[in-house]
Formats: sequence, C-alpha cells, structure tokens
Amino acid sequence: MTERVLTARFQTPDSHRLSTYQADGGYQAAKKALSMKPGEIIDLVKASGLRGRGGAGFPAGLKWSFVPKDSDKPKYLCINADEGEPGTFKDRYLMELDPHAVIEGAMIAAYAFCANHAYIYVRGEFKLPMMRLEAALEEAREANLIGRNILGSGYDLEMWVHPGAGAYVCGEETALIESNEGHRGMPRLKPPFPAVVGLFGGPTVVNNVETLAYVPHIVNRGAEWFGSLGPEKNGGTKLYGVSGHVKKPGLYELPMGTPLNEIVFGVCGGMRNDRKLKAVIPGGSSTPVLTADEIKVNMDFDSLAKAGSMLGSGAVIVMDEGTCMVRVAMRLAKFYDHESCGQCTPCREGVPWIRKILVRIETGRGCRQDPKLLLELCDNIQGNTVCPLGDACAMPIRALVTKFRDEFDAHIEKKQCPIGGFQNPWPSIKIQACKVS
Amino acid sequence: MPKFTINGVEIEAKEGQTVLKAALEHGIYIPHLCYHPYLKVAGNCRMCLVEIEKMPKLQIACATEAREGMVVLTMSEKVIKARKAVLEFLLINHPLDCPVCDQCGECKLQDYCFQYGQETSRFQEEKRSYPKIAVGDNIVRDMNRCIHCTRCIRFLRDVAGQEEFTLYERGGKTQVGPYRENSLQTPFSLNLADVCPVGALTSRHFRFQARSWLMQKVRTLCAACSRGCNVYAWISKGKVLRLTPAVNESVNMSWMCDFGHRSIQPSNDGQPGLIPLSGGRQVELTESLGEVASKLSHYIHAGDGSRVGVIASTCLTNEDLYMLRKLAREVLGTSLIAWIPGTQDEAPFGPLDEPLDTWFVRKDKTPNARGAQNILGSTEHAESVESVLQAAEQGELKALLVFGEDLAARYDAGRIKQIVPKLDLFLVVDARMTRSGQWAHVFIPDAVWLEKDATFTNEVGRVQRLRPVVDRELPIRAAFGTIQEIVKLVGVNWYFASPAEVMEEIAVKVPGYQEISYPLLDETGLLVEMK
Repeated sequence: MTERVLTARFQTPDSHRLSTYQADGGYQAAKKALSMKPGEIIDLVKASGLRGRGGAGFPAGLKWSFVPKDSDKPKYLCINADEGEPGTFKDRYLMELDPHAVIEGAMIAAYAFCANHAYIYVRGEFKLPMMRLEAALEEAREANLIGRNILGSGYDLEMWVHPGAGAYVCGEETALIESNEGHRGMPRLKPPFPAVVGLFGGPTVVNNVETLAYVPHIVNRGAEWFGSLGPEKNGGTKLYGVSGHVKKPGLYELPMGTPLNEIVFGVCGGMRNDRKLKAVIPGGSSTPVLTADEIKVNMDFDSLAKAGSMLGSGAVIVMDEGTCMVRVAMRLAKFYDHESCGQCTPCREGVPWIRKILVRIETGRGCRQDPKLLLELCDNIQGNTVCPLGDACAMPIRALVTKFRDEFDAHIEKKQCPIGGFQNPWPSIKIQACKVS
Repeated sequence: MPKFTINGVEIEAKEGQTVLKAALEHGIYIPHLCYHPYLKVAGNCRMCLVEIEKMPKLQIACATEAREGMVVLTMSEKVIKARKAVLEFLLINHPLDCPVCDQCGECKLQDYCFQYGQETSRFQEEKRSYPKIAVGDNIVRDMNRCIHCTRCIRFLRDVAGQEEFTLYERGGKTQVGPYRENSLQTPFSLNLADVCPVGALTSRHFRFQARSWLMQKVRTLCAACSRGCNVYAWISKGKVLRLTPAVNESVNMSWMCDFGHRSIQPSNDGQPGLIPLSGGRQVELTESLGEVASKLSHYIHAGDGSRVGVIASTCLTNEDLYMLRKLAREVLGTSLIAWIPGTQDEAPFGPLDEPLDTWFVRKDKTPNARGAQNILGSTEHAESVESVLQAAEQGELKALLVFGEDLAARYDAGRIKQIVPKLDLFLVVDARMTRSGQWAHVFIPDAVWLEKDATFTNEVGRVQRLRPVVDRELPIRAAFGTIQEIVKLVGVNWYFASPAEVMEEIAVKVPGYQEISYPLLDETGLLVEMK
C-alpha cells in the first residue's frame, strides 16, 4: 500500500477541526508559502506538474501563471466544489473530513497569483460539507489564517462559501462564475478566458477542491516528491471513487496510473456475486466507456487518453454482465438532457433528441437506422457547443453505441430489452435495477 | 488592421473586429441567427460556425476576433455539415407552420433552411409545444417557433434598459419570456417583433394583415417625435400596415419606440374624404384656392398685406415652412408669422404618456420644431403667436392663415371662436379636420406626412428625407404646393417644380442649409451647419 496523502487524516477523530489539523502540521505550508515570493510558488507547482483534478487535467501552475500580473482589477480564486459528475464523490469527503486542507491550499493558491478574494462554490446539495467549511473558515478567521494581514505577512485574503443551486453545468468554470455572480448558471463564450475576464470582470482562477488540497503537500514536501508518486507528467496520488457492481465500492486514494483492472479486481475485491465484468466507465459519466477487454489501462490522464477515454474526475463506474447498455446510455442521456442549460442549439435540441431515441430503443420501439442516427447526432453535437456539456453527452453515448452495437441491434430486432425489466414509457421514467431474472 | 483570408480572398478587418462583421462588410455572407449588429454577442445559435486553420474545433464567426494571417473557410465540408446539423436541431421542435406564420418571407430560419437545410426530417419523436401567450399589449409570443437566440432578452436588457425578458426552465424545456406573465412595461416592446429572427414574437397589430412579399416598403421618417427615426413603411393595397425601423446609426440605430410604431393609425383610418370647405360648404379645390387668392390679392392691392397673420405648426416640413415664409415676407409683406413650438401635451396623433425615456423618445412630439426654428427664426415664438392672436382680437388683422395646427385645441377655444368673426379670412390648412377647421372660412386639406416628399430637420439639426409612401388620389397636395398655387393665382409665379427645388432655394436663403440638397441627403441625412 502506497502512502495516503489527501486521505491521511480521514480516520482521525475530529479531523475537521483546526486543532486536529494544526496538530498534524497543518498551516505550516501556508506559513512557508507566505515567506516565499508568489512567483516562486507558481514555479514550484509548475515544476511538480500538478494537474487539475476536476476532469480536464490542465496543469494548475500554468493556469495560475495566465493571470495578468499588472491587472488593475481585483483578482479572484474560485474553488470548484460543485461536484456534480455522476459517479463522483471525492471532493465532498475532502470538505467534510479535511476542510482546512482545502482552505490552506486555496490560500496558498490565492497568494500565488495575488488574489485577495476567494469563493468556495459548493454544490447546493452538500449541506454537511458546507457546514464544515463554514465552521472551518470561522476557526481560520479567528486564528488569523484568513482575513487581514494573515500571520503578520501583510497578505489579506477573504474567503466565502457560496452555495450552488443544483445545476451540473455550474461545474463548468465560466458557468460557475456566472452563478457565483448571481446569474443564471450558463457558460460564457471563451475567449476571454477567466484568467483574463472572470468573476465580476476580474482575472479569475477556478480550481478543483482536490487540486487545491494537494497544494500544501507540494509546498511542504517539494515538487520532486510529488512527481515521484506517479508516472511522468501524471504525478501524485488520485482519489478514485469506485461505484457499481464491485464487492467493495468506495473512495480510494491510489497512485496515479494504477491499472484499472487492479482497482476493480484488487482494491475493490472483484465483481459482486462474482459475475462477469461487462464495462467500466473510468472517469465519471461523461467519459467514454471501456469494455472488459480494455481495462488493463493505467488510470492516469495520458494513458486513458491514449485508450480513447478520459480520467475525468476519477469516478469509476463498474458494470457487470447483467447491465443493459442501452439503459445505461438512456440513463446518461436523461441526466444530460436534464442538466443541459439550454443556451446553445446543438446541446439544447440534440441531447433531448438522443434521450428520446434511446427511450424508444429501450422500450422496443427502435428502428434499424437509430444507432447510426445516434452516432451522427453525437458527431453533430460534439465540438459545436458553447461548453463541454454537449461533448460530455456525446462522448459516452458514442462509445456505448460503437462498443455495444450488437446490444442496440438486439433491442431493435427483438422489439424489447433482451435483459428486460424496463416497461415504463416516456415520459414517466423510473429506472429500475437492471438484472437478469 | 489585421489582414486575413476568407474563402481564399484576402480582406482587411478593422482592429478588434470579429470575423463575421468583417466578412459581412466585405460582402461575404455567413449565416447567423443570434448575432445582431446592434446587440451584444451571445454566440448561442451556433449558426455562424466557420473553420479556421490551426484551430481544432469550428469557431463561431460572431465571437472570433479577426487576426492577422487567419485562414477562414465558410463553405468547407465540415462547416456545411455543422450548419446543416444546427438547422436540423433548430427544426426538430419547430412547428414548420410557415404558411400561417407572420414571419414567413422575412424569416431567417426559413431562408437558411431553404439554402442549407435538408428536405426531410429524421425526427420521429413528439415535438414540444406551448400555448401562445400575449405579452403586453403589443406582442404575441409563440414559444413553439422560438429558436432561443435571446435577441429579445438582450435587446430589453442592454438597449431598452428594462430587463423584462428572461430564460426560464432549462435544457430542451427552456422558454423565453417575461418575468411576470403578460406584462411588458417597456415602451419599446414592438422592437421585439423586429429583432426576433423567427415568428416567435410578432406584433399584435400587424398579425395576419399581409404577407411580407406582397407589401412594398418605402424608406421614410417617423413623424411621431422630434427624433426623426428612420423607418420603413410597409404598404399593401394603398394602406400603410406597419412601420419598422430602418438603420441609421446617427439617429436611431435600428430601433424605434412603440409610439412611433403605432403612429400609422391616423393615415389609415383618418378621414379619407377630406374635402375643401368654403364657409362650411364642400367645394372643389380650385374654388377654395381661388377664394383665398382673390382675398389675398385684394389685401395686397389695398396695401393691407401686412395685416395678414400666419401661424405654422412644427408638423410641417421644411419645404412647407419655407414656402410659408416666402409667402409672408415676399408676397404679403407681413411680419406677423409665428410658429407654435412642438406640442408636448397634444401629439399629432393622439394623447401621449409622459416622456418615456431620455434615451430615445422625445418630449416634443412634433417632427420639425428645429426646422421651424431654423427657417422662421427662433424669436420668442410663444409671444409671437400671442401677438398674432392679440392683433386679431383687436381687429387689426384682415386674415389669419393657420397651417397644420388646431388653434382651438392649443389655445382657449372660446377666444379663438371670438376671433373668427373679426377676420375677413380665416384659412386653415390641415391634414385632419379639426374644430378650428370647421370654423374656418376656408379649409384646405393638407397631405399627411406619409404622402409628402419633403424633409424634416430633427432635434439635433439633421435634415432627413421624407418620402411619399401612399397616394390617396384625392385633390390634396402638400402645403407647399397649396401655397404655390395660391401665390400663382395672386399673380406671382415661383416655378418650383418639386420639393427638391424648394430645398435648393432653402440652401441659399436659410443659414446652415447651404450644404443640403436632396441628392446628397441619401439615407443618413445631413447635419445643418450651425454657427
């Protein structure tokens, strides 16, 4: 078992309290960082190769360096805690069990590009994480770890918790900014990128919770240590949230690049009821599915990209042989249909269309040309939308249709789901467990 | 000035200009729906996707800044496929009710589908549908036709300054509409029908009146206030059915207010049979003109020319006003010529609300106060009218000639009624029958503004062309023609064959107008040079 970094304190009682955190060396990194020059921190994080844990894997240090230094507008840090990707449940535990690590990381990041304001945009449903963050901020304020003249360094930082209102799309950075400003959560056109024009018009960096939680460790232990934890350009450990038909689903911190089959069959104890593995979604619902034959892939950004999928948020969804892949596609399409913001044409019109076709196929009313139509619709959506939500729907649907084409065809030929169990017609959709009877 | 290539043609864009703007300026058309030249960019329709070399994805031309050396393709295979896809997406939930849609014929979606779309639909599912609702007094919203371009939202928020429309619901269920049902406070609501590229927002007044391709449109001016917005008047069977704003960046961009939009009513149901009256008796135009001329020539010969008072309205055109001035100064030799400053409480076309917005609608609801000031002089006009009326009251006046104004409405009606018997001639020339018109010894109808070929000078001194839109085929002529005819009968020949020739003389005689002539006015008009 390798070292646990982010989850090291998860089992400690009262891990969310400042005293516990400080007893474990908390805020030492902040003290060290405040004695450094902001540019040095950016260089350090750049050297470590820390990549954004929210899904895209963009180097964090590079993102910070895009913020113009001579801007006369206030700069902002937004902490993206709008963890909405189906299958993902990592940030909530970081916020619940180690909120000070998030705050300390955010503080170092804000200091690195000279921001004096930070917003933690928390998904609206996360009541406990929000309460824990609020309490932690209160403690930090009292200890002068947040606020004016932090620890006598002359650096000011104010940090607020901003609850979301339940929109998946607000996890997209510009939609998050819009929502944080109090507007309808709809992504903005890029360019200008948030680093130039972001929150309230000021230069803004949006970072994921897990990314920021790693920053204190990098400051404490150096870039090389971080790089040594994983394969090249994919340093550090990663939180994998495993769900689905495995014996031991849960949140696991493993080194980057742990092979997927080891996660499924080793760490998680194999398939539930010892059924056969059918497919794995490796990084949250918007990443293309991998078949049972493809799971020898290493779970890091580059290896998964090579395998035609994405690491995304590291949410591994495991499906056994009893899973109807059409129903999986339908369930995903339902989610994206519900979450599309409705701003741009391909996503607003295309995603509900995909969903309707999938409902038709699943309920035995599909036509022979439907799979081809689905693929064409995916092509027509992907790349033509304002934000990546359209892509997030098109990519997994395309992968499901191509990799499990025979199942789609079987539905259409037999005019029913071969696995059965789904009868409810559109629009009253109630998904039931899909199991072989 | 970045130079870039588009479809193999090198063009030069202005600094910071988008690809779409630069392309349109150079005559290269890129289809677009949500882009509007006078609204903020939204980039949501995805219709203007173009291929740009070295960029992995297609880019929207409306939001991509043109940069030096860019290579843009607007007709590549990839672009055409994306365009087709966007149109297909837009149409799947569209009712395709073009035959009964008011926008038909001027609908961008229709045009693009005809040009780039596919003939058949692959959509087998049920279309979403919503009931039509009336939004405010002027607009009907048909959500089924909406393409969610948000032009209406952006217009209300960024231009009209009253954020009354919004998106509600989400995803495929997104609707565009007012925050509160059936309410729109903005005095610019009819612009929504103009900015909507499809038939989702239509004018309640114009609905089902005529097909756009069966109407003629004439570019003219709105006469409902002193701003002088450029408009298109749409005519069918001799009737003006609607006014829509025409672009003039110096005056109204491409907007106009509801009051202006609706100012056409009088010309439609105004008195079509307005007939000259003499002593309350219907007469031929020549007879009424003859009567006025004989009386005027009688005064002139008796040396009483200066005992004629003239009152003009600021609804008259520059040409009318100038002819009036010429009549008064050169023929009659009277100095008693006055103009009534722009009405603020009494509009040419009915009662008015408060001044709507400093941004656009003007308090002065007459179109040509500035012209009257320039041509007749900015004397203490109010007093001047008063002095004309006082002179009449004291019996000093032989005749009072009133052009385009209802004295009974503007002043104490009883007072006017008492003045009339003291006069030998009370002439009223007006486009509508008024109370003072009924009291007049002679009433001669004037053409309405939609029938005139003339100019107005707007509040900032921009001289703009008014073009004849309708022809009522009645013995009615514009005031300047009436005056010329009277003068001719008096025995003076002026030989103005057209209003353009009147303007040539105005250019010589009226300070500030020296640069102005009809051929130069073009579509944007010219500013009067003020010293």
